Amino acid sequence: MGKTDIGPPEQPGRRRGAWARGYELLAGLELAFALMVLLGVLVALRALVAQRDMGLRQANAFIRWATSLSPEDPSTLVWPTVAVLALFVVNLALSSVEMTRKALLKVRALTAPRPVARFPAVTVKEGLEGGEDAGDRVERFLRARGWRVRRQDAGGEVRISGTRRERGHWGTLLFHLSFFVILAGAAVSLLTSFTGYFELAPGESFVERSEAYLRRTDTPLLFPGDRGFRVELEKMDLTFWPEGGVRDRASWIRLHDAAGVLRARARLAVNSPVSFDGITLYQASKEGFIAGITVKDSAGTTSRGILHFPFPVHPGDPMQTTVQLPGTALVLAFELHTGLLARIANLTGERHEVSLMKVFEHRGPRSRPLGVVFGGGEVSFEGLTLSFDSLKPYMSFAVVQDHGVPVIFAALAFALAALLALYFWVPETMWAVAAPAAGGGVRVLVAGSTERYENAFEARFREMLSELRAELARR
Amino acid sequence: MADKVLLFVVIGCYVASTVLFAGLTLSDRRGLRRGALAVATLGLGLHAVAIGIRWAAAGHGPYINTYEVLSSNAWVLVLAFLLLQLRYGWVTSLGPLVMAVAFLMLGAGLMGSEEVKRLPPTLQSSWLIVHILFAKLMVTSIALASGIGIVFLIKERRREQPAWLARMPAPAVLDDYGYRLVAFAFITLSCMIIAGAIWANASWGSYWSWDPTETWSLVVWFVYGLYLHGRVTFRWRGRISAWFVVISFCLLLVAFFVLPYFVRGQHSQYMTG
Repeated sequence: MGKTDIGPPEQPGRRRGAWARGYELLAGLELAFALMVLLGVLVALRALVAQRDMGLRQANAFIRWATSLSPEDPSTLVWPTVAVLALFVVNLALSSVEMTRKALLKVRALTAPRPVARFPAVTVKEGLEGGEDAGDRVERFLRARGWRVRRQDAGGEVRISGTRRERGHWGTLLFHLSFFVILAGAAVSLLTSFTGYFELAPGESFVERSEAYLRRTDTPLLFPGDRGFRVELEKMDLTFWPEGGVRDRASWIRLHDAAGVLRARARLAVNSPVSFDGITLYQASKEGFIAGITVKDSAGTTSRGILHFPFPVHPGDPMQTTVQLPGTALVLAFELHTGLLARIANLTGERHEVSLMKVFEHRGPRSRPLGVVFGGGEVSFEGLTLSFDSLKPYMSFAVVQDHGVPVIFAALAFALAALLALYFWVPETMWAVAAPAAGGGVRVLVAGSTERYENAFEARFREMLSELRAELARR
Repeated sequence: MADKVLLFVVIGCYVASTVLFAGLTLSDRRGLRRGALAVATLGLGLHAVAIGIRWAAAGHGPYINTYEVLSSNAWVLVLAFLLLQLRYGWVTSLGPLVMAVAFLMLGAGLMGSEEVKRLPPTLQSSWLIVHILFAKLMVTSIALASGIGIVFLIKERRREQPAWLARMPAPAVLDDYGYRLVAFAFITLSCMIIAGAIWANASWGSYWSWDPTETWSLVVWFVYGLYLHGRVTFRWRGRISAWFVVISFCLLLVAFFVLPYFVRGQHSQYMTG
């Protein structure tokens, strides 16, 4: 069986120049295939880097060996990836020109009725016998089975073409064009994306300015200015499952625009971000308690700091953190116990307002206890005095701006639709010519062709031809 | 506990169905076909009840730990098999393979911890359901395509074919069906990755974080993209196509069902708990 010929015939004796050969190479499917292999290998190496960094638990020798293939410095993958992607874009652009040409040729040239001498290379071809009205019968037969039929009466012959799913010819081109839109979206994302993080305790506000963020990415080239909106944390919403484990963590916030007008009161949670004025506000992953401490040595040198204690997974678990005192090798571990957690999480049972920290000298698995300090109090050890000055809960938030994302997702949706068309809206074409036979009667030559799944098409087409044969033989 | 007891009954049904399909393969008796399908359908129904009981007890769908994941995968595989054989009768010849895989998968799941785990905040999203749905459709499609590939390789090699093999479509037609299933799997894999990215952004604040499971799913996407490209570029057909599908299915199994047990990641902690 063969595919339908759609390209112009090569002129014999004409040698292709270097430019033409280069164009063919750059636009070719073989190059696309090779680039996909390279991209797949680069992505696999990146996966191995992530595996190595995250650690393997009791992995077998093969997995350890495979992971060891990853480069020590992941940045070594950047330039090869950029080079492959650049070549990919060139290949995509040039091959899109070819795909457009082929699609136009298929749509225009293949759907018209044609004489037998101009039947293209086809999947199936068969001859049938019929009466004088064979052409009419073939036309009715095909229409009844959902084919789009075109007819031409010429020189005593009835020439018929039938098509199904004609628009499927554009599937390949549209799928590949969507990659350009994705790349355009990625470019927009590169120019406009920005992420900043801030923390708030209940009752506190954050006024959006680039220097107000705790951490932030570089200022984007487009839409770089401060927005000046204000986020106020009204209340924290933290719940645990009865058997333990965090059930929900969320924040009730009020959003005011730059003029101070209240624009929204919303519940911000994991999986429930809030969009506002071109940015999206997310509930970030860090929340817990911030303890303010002061450390004084015997010489009177004072150092103030804050400790972050993440909320526990189970409400009864201690909250822990470690810190190295500046200018010393002393690492202190802290364990926080506070009744505030029960209040925030609306836990039942006995509640109290006491907060205390247990202080340890951190020495790996064997830590040495140094003392206990209550909120507002102080504890002394090894010539140092540590005071527990303040304690407040906090939630962290992320502000994200990225105007490329909607473009990318629109392109992805388009690509999926094109893929569905490409593989499940496969065009089928058939031609028939009914002409008087030399010995009387009418001979009908029928041929059929498809873009894909030729074998299954051949089986179905032959079944259809059997039915057509029976129809033509019917009196 | 009730769901676990029921699942042992389901395993019994799937084993019985496997035996009946194997008998059908050897003897071509119509009664065996009806019996095998009836027992498989009974098992599927009981399996659905077991999943429902578990769902009600846990408060979430079957996608948190090995027990739930493998159980639901087996259910989807059997469902797809029974639906496809309604349309394409020859699919029943795959019965011994499909039902055996189903009961082995279920058995492996029962060996894992059946402790009910509550959903943490990051998993409380409707995108999770979309992501999981496409993942199961993808795995099922590839599994069936691999089964067809194996049958193709057997049928192509043997000149004298037993009755069950002779009933299967011609190798070239099997090749087409396998191709179509891989194309469907590629689309569902794309949907799975996209849904996962949307959900990851809402949960973790980033569409893509190079988590190992995420990244390996992209590698699998490239592998199947290469297959689809190879069919056009190099006109891969027949034996090379079948071998590619079977080998890439092994890669898929390693990427999604083996590596997560050895690699600590944000994604794998939920699949292998």
